[in-house]
Amino acid sequence: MDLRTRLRELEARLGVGQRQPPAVPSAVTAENGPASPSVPGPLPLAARLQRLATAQADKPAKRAVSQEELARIVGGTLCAEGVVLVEQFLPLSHRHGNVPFQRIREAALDFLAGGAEPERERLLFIDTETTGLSGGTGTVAFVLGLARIQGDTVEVRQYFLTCFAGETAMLEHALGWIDDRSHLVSFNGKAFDIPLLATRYRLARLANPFATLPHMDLLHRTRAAFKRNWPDCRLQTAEQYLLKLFRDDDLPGHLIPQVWTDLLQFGETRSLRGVVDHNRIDVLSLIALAGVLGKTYAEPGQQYADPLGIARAHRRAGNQATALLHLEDHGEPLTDDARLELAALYAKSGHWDKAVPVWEALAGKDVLCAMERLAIYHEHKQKDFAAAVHWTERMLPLSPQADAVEKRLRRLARKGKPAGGG
Amino acid sequence: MVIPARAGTYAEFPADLDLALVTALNSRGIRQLYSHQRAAWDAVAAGRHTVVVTPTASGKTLCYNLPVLQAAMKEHAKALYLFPTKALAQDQVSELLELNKAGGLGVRAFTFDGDTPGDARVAVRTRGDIVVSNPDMLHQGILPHHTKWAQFFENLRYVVIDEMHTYRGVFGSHMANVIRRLLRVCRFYRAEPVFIFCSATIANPAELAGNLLGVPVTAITESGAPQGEKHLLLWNPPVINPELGLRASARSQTTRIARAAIKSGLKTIVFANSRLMVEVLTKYLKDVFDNDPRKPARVAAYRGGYLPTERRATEGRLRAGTLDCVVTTTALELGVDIGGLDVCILNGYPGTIAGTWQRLGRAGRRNRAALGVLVATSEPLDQYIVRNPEFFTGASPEHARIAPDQLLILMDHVRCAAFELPFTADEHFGGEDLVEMLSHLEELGVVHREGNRWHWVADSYPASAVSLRAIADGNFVVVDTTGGRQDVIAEVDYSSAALTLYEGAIYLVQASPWQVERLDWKGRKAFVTKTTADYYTDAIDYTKLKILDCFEDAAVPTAVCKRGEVHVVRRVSGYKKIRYYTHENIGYGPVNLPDHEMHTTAVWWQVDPRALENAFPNRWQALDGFLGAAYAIHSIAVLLTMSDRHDLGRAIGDGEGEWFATTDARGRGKLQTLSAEGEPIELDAAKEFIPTLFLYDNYPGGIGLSVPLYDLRDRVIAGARSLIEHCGCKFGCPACVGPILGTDEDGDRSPRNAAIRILDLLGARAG
Repeated sequence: MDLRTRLRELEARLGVGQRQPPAVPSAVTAENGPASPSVPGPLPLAARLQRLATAQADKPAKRAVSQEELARIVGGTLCAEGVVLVEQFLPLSHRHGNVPFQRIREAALDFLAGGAEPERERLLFIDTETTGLSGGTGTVAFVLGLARIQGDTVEVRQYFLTCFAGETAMLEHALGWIDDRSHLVSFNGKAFDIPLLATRYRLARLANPFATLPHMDLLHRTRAAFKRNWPDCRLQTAEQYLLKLFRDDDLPGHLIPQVWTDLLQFGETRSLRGVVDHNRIDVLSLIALAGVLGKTYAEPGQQYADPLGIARAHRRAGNQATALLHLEDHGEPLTDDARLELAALYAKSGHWDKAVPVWEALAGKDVLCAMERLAIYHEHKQKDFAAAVHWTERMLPLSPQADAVEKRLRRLARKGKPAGGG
Repeated sequence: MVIPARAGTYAEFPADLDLALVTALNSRGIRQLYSHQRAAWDAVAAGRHTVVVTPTASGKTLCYNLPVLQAAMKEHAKALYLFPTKALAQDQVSELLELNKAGGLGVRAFTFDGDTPGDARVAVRTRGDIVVSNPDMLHQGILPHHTKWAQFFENLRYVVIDEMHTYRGVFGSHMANVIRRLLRVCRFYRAEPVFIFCSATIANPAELAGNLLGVPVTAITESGAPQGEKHLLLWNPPVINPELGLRASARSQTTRIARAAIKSGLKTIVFANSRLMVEVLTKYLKDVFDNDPRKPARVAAYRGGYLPTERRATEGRLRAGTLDCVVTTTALELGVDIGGLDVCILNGYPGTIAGTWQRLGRAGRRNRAALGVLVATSEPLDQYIVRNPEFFTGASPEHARIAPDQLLILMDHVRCAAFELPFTADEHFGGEDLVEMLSHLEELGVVHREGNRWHWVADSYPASAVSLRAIADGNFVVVDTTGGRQDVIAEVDYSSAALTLYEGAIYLVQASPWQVERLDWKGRKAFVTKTTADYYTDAIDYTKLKILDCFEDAAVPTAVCKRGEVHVVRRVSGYKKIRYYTHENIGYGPVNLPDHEMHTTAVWWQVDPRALENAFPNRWQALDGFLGAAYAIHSIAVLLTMSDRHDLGRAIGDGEGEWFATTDARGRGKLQTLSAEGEPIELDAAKEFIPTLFLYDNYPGGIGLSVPLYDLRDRVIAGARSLIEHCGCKFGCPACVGPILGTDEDGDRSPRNAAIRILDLLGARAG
């Protein structure tokens, strides 16, 4: 038996199936332009049936597609062998959803940038489309989307690989927009896009241009500010809530890796335009989102914002005053947790007169933590052991750690004695 | 038996050894080297890949630490250390750090394994001079992310692979492929590291190292270390039934010796060969020593399948000396630091001489007089070993073998390698045609060919689907649901799940019984509740084979021996309940689990039907002879091919998968023939009767055991015959033909004679 036959038999026994040609489920084509279903979910039955039908068909011969044709399909030009460049220029006044890009000039970005106010011209918005999500050396970014602001214009450059051989040229070409003063802006790029691109540069034996660049990852800030109020913190959720942007015909993200492998293996081009459009919306959303997020962290009381998450982020960054501001001026009633944070901030800045009423109100609602704060306050700050005993005793039936509470009571009893006796 | 002491041979420090290193060594009392340490230095300095074979406690670590530390200090060269287990790696780092501190060497050594926290990983990758890891981590964590390790690989000068003898069989075959991938990545970074292997004593260290690395390796086999006296007691349990040749069980003898040792205040370690036996022995010892629940336990079990936290706690108690006895499997064989122990008891021969020495090395590490006891079971190999103690004094008979080109294993690593770096047409990977393998992967859609390069395109991470140690993926977790709980109490690997986690099974953890209520085969979960059962359970499984293809054959006048491909179906049909202490069988239960099917290679023997008819009055007696012969042949084959007993399967059938013969699972001697569906059937006298004795390679696709087995067929038959002939029993016993029934005690018709008759037919010594 030859090697291939042996392999097939072995794998048949292990249930390893042969890859079948694609049945592209979403109806995105180059003709009907950008992009479709708003919610990625199970495929519609029709598509599943279609997939079954194709699965039984023989593997089609690979259709040869020229690079020029691919460039035309995705709406760009060949900038190097194997690389299509798609460029777009939009005025800063352009509204993405209902938010003008201009917002990024008006909003304060210092907090998002983790330091000084960044120069807007240095911001480099970046997002990739890849052959997989697992990371490591075997994952390729076949679309690299970049955007920057130049004067009153947003400039977008998207690179699309028509084959593996174009990768080095793409990475080199992209260096035209990256220098050591660039400031990266991404959505989950710290964990995903940037390490992946660093790997690609390394494999191409090029220096990693990102190693020392500052990086604003909007995902983290979005999570802190909104996760309590939203079902999830994906980019498209943020677009819907903050930008009022609803993608109609967008290609669901989980189908994207397949689009490129289908092109390589079968010459399938149906969804290519959809991927490039998807990536462009992603990159443009970064600009609009940065503006909205900047405002969310700078000004209290923004829509959907969770004052507790924002206050905590500010406190961790050392901005106690700003943290306090977000809680005090939120405009709507605070949750118990947020009020605890508020009282803690008061206490930290020595405003016990403001902290105590908050704790007392919460203790009235049986909030255990508030009683404990009061007990500590009376014991250590006021040396009012009777009051401390009062709050500790109230904790007793509520606390899951009765031992610790009893220990505190015994200590208070000891401390209270000389005072009471004398 | 006393292994005599031996004086050491010494050598000067090498002239070019860094002064700081000399100071560090001096401060630890080392003023000269053993001859093998110096020989290793010289070989490595000459840029030769080297394997050092040394007994335990012979200072082997200096063989690699010296060149590595020197290169790190003088040239900022990096080194990768690989140990088969995490625990060993951690011990090694602490030793390195001590030496480093003693000499103020400024060399940074870090472990990198699954326990290394995410924020520490960057420092390990960029700042570590010596990275200490294990093959699994290299395979799944380092190679697929090699770009993050670019600095490390660019400066990689040495790769150290300790405990090399553990890399044999399936694990070794995987390891050879991981090394192929490592070399490929090194080439990308233009690094050409020198490999230093260390191994316990085996017969073919240079060959194994060469097979692992793919190029010749220099062997240093003469140890210059002095050796103290070692006391080894080979304990053959007393014969309790001379007629049947039945000996007292090793289990009872081991318990007795352990009891005596613990009562005398000696710290004791007991090694058992299966997890089940660990639990049974632990229970017996706990019944004696831990019956007061208010006192801390004096006896503990330690084995794979326990959670890491539990294992670390037991290790800690051993080091602190608060535990009197630990019962364990191989999990504690390799250098996990557990301090010095006084007595080491082996319940049964561990299967290899090298493994025996390693386990015995657990006792007496701190220059204290120590005793090792090997308690023989009635297994033929055990009996063979205790009757031939020269195995422990003479040259090692053990050849470690690997089959790096085993197709399934090879393909697993071609995938991983393609993920790591694109393949080019001029590359080689293993002994098979790379372009064909890649074309196959292209058909599967996981790689894409562009010009002369193959790129990984699948949306997956192939290394995570490949386990270096097990046949199939997917461990089972055991979930305790007692009283509405949902606690994971253990993990069981896929291959043993069918035998230990069927519904109704008693699953033991620290000798406490849990009963399996529900097994979610697809979800890989077993739900158990606490029970107080006074019995344990043992699975009944059987195997049927079908011959698919014959590669080669050799005939003698009355029989034929063939080698080829077979289809194997293994089924767990039910289980038995066995009461503690009395070991009586108190009931059966059914098991409904999917069959385990595989396609592998085998060697089989068939006797000429007429010769067979002439030699036996009826078919049952002939089958009895086959079963006995198979039992003996299996034992000898394991010894000659240096494999584990379960690496080879044995079966008797017709070769068509229509019927097969079996004794009941514990080998209590009840012979029956079963149809393909597992129903008992009678053998139809009208049909031609060609029983076939199979020894098959117990791994999908085969791991390369059938070729040496076929080549050694004459020695296998002769050895099996000699095993039975020289056995002390009268009618047959577990040490030769397997357990027999009292009713078989008839001189001429005894299983023993029947088996010899079959072996004579197979070996053409017809009588």
